Amino acid sequence: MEGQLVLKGVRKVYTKGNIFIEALRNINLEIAKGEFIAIMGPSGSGKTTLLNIIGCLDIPTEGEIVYNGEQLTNLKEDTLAEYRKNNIGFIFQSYNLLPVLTVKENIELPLVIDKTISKRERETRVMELIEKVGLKGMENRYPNELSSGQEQRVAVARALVKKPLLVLADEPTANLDSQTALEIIQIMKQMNEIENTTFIFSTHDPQIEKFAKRIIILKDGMINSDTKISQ
Amino acid sequence: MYKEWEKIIQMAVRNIKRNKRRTVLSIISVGLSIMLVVVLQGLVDGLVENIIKNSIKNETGHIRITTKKYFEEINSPSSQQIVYNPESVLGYILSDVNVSMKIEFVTERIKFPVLLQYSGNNKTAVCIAGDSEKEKKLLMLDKSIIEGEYLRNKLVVKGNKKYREIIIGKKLAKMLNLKVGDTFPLMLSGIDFGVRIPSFYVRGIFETGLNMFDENVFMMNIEDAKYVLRTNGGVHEILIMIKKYKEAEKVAKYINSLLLKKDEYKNLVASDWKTTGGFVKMMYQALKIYNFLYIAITFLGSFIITNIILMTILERKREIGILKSMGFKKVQILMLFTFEGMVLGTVGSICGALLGILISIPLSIYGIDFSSSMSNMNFPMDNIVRWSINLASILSSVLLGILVSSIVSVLPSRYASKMKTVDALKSV
Ligand SMILES: Nc1ncnc2c1ncn2[C@@H]1O[C@H](COP(=O)(O)OP(=O)(O)O)[C@@H](O)[C@H]1O
Ligand SMILES: [Mg+2]
Repeated sequence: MEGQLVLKGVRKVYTKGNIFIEALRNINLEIAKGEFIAIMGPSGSGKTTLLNIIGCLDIPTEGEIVYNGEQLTNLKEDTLAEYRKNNIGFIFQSYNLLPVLTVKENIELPLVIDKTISKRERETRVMELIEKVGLKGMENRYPNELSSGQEQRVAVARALVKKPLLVLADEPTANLDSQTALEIIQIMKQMNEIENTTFIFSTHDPQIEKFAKRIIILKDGMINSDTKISQ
Repeated sequence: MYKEWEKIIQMAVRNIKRNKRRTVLSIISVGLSIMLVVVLQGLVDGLVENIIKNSIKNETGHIRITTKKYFEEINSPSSQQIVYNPESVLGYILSDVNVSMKIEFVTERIKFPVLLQYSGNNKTAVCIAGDSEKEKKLLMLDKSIIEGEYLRNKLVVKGNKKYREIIIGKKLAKMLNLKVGDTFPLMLSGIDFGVRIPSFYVRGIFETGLNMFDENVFMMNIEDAKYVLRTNGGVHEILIMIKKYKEAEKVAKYINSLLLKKDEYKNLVASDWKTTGGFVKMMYQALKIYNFLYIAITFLGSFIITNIILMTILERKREIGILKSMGFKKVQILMLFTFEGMVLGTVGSICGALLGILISIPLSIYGIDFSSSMSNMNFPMDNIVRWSINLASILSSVLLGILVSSIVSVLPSRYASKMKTVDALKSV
């Protein structure tokens, strides 16, 4: 299926000296294009590890990841970088903006390394997104001149600017007040509906959970439940 | 497409601007080392130019025609190696337009060692005999006369005797206790192996500031030397000065091809200033060693950049993680940090070079008097050495600074580019 992501028997073991930590065990998942998925579970249950592996930031100890029918498991680092560049947007809990770049420059950064997008196209996309995330008039501010809510909006815009097929967000609202958190999740939802972008985000927040169309609950590195919610 | 490189440079520059203290620190460090290199290079270039200049005018000319065996004796050229009828040799080679159009002037010299005795000691001095007019442009001893006069090219009548004139170096005169107007005998062995003891009249005393000259040399007219040595009109050296000294090697080669065509000149050879100037050859060797020194100094000054880039990388691990998650490739990360070092190195090198030039300017005008440290050296070097401000040398030291700071930045930057994305992202 177009844009389908499949995880087969994924296992991740961290080694710390003599200690082995099994962060993920036998994860099997099928994620279709356009899904809006919340990954939940207590702290240490493996949410971040799972997102990192889906996003090809880390490689599984066992098992495979297939995207669009293509094996991602044994690719070289630069090939994976290329894959991330073309397909995935990331949003992190701590917004991770580049302090030396302005709002506008932070947002357009992923397009700068994309040779297929013209300067004009870049300009319109960035301005559109700035408007959409409600940062109009703040284009030239630096991250240290923004509130944390505004910073996360920049991070969201940055993740969306290249129109990725998949956006991965690791506790994107954990550092925000509930009102701002709500606004952020609404922006994500909107993008999911308009662009049919797949969203996978981890969260603890029951308020955010309500927006999910599918909820995966992890426990001790295993899928405890996987529920599709019909709205 | 290079927009990504533009961005990478822009980010590097902004990060440099953000960390003012580190930036200033590394610019000072690189700057000082490049300044030192520029000043040192100015001195060394000045010395080399000085030695080349002196060696050309006192020793080699641009091109020197001698017999092939003239240089065979290790310590001094052989007095027995005579170029007979120099006029016809010159007439022959100058009749070729390829030679004559390049030439400024030619002159002849006889050079011979003389054993002197003074207060019970022996000393070997050198007599240089040349055309007193033309030597005003080469040896230029007319400008260094401090007592008496320069050669007049006239016999001196004193009492009822006639004397040939000489001028003598100040220190040599002092050693021999000679004053202007004195006469003194010299024991000479002629080309005919006959020993004669003619007397000479001291016309003048010179001081060149070149110890090699002031302690060891006296000068006489070439016609007088031809007579007292019975050379039959022969000379030791024909010196050729050409219009562009850099063409010396080429012209010498051409003259050699002409000399080879005539049987009677087959024993002669034309050598350019580089090949027979003993000191010049030595200097070119020394220059190679100095290049290593410049590189070493630059590395020392640039080393701070390695540390600063490493610090920056450790501080900006998260940023590296973000860029990698966005799809930045290894080279791009590598270049992001290498550029920072490169920019620091470039700014530092340029500042250092400017400072070095600023220091070198007065030194190139006034020079520094090295006479006390050089007093016992036989070196064709003026007492006052002026720095040479050579644009090519300065440019090369700036490039060296940039190159070295880039090299020392690559090491830590490679570490950044190889960092695992998840680890980079995790750091706080
Ligand atoms: N780099 C690592 N080295 C060792 N153990 C790790 C590392 N990253 C995560 N872990 C461990 O793996 C487990 C899952 O962690 P994580 O995926 O961060 O869970 P969550 O995001 O749900 O809190 C935890 O026990 C954690 O301590
Ligand atoms: Mg986590």
